[in-house]
Amino acid sequence: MNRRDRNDDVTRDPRMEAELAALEAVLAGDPPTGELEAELAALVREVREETPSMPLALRERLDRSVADGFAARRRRVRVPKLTLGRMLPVLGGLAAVLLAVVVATGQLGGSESDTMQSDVSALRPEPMTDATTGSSSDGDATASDSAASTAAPESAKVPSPGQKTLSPAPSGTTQSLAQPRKVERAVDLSLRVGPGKLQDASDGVVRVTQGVGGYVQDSQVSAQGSTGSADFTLRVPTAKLDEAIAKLSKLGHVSTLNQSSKDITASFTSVGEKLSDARAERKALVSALSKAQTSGEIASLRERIRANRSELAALKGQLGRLRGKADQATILVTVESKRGVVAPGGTGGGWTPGDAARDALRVLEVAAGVVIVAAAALVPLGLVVLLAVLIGRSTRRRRREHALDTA
Amino acid sequence: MDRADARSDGMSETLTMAFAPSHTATFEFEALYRSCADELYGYVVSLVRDRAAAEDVTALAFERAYRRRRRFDPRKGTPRQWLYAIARNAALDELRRRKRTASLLVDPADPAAAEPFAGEDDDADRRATVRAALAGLEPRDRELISLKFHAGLTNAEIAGVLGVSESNAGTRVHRAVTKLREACS
Repeated sequence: MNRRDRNDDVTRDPRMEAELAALEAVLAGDPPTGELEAELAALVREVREETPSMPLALRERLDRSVADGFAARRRRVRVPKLTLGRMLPVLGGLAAVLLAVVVATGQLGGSESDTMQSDVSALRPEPMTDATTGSSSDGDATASDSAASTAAPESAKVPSPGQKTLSPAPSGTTQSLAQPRKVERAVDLSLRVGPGKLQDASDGVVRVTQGVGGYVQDSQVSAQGSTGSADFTLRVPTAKLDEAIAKLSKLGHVSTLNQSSKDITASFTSVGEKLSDARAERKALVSALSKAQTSGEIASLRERIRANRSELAALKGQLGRLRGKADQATILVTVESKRGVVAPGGTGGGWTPGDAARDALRVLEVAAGVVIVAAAALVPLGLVVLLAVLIGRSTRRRRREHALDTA
Repeated sequence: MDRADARSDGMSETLTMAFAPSHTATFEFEALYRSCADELYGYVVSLVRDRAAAEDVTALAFERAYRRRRRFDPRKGTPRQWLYAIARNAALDELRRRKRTASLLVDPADPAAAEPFAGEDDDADRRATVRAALAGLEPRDRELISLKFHAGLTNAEIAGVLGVSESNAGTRVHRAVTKLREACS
């Protein structure tokens, strides 16, 4: 609308109003009441006489087209216009798919992820080569792995035929390559159980430990209502370690399972050799004592035998402790009772209405997030499209009007 | 204005009511077609000034209207206004497509119309004068004369066709009629 048009909107001359009213009266077929009306009536009649009438051929063609619904000209292929009404179902479908993907991803990335990871890792056998390689300077080796081993105890003591004993024996020793390795093993196991299941799980820990011939070295239980936690330090025979882990893992969801192995063969051998030396020395001292002649010589030998006896006792103690480390594995068990945890096999905790409400809330949160993200992406895009449509319409209209001006 | 509204309301109301139920749209569209075909053709001729092109544009306008008949919104105007707007866009697109100049668009003179019958010299002169006056009008003024005199649209309907306010449409109509009266005098 140009400036003249805007002025036309607000300024209506009374004379113009009168002439327009006269024109409307003439067009309505009213008889002329004055000179102006008569002139306008004649003008209207003359202009109408100049009106070209529709050709008969066009009339007949249009009659047929209208009668058959323009079917004949409908054969051309038309590309559907991308209107908002047509795009809405498509956009809705895309949003639904996006929502489903995000919800699924959110569920997998939530509380279930660590459990699944643990369950999978628990099935993975532990590579024992870690325990037999990487010897340190004193001959000990330490290995850590987050997986349980099914053949660890046997292979820890007796290498399999195909397994290499890569750890070199300390120089100057008489260790045989065929001697079974002594490995100290420790496991850190974290379990999660449903509300109110802490006591059952704790009883299960003790029962499993005793069942495999072990004992509870230390325990600490802390309960708050239906939730809480318990820490256990268990000592079980190394030969029954995997069995114990397997049974303990059934008491709840395994959230973490870390296993470490330390090769103490070198220390064991060293202490054993020292013990042999001490024994040989004792035998020699006893023999020398039996052959001693003087009282001073006898007193000196007895003193040395006494010192040797102390050394023997100390070495036996060291050897016993090392043997204990190799024969008894340590399991640190942490049991945590939390809401929203479903026990294995669907027992214990269950899927309560509260859990359903929380899940529903989670879904709503994710849906709201999807909507916000989608809006963040679509709103600017929509504004750009809207602007383009408006500009396109304006341009097309301006070009049409320009075509009339130049006609 | 009231008189004009009353005149057009009879037809518009009938057509508007007829357009409401979509299951009988074919019959109602035919009613619109019967009531507007001749006037619409005359309006298109006044725009494109080529009778052959006007035939195509008129047919195209009716076809477009038929295809879009379910999108007609009575709240935005009468069926006639809606149909004339479609015809106007089609005619202007035709003008753009063909890129014809105004001089080339003028129909060749009709020899039969140029030769007056005996005793009709005055009428023939008057018709020639009116024809020349119409041809001398600017396209926009000629369009307004056609919409007002041929089609009989109200100022409100003309405003809807042209996309201007009703007041502005009335002013434009008055200006075009004044020019025509001056050219014919």
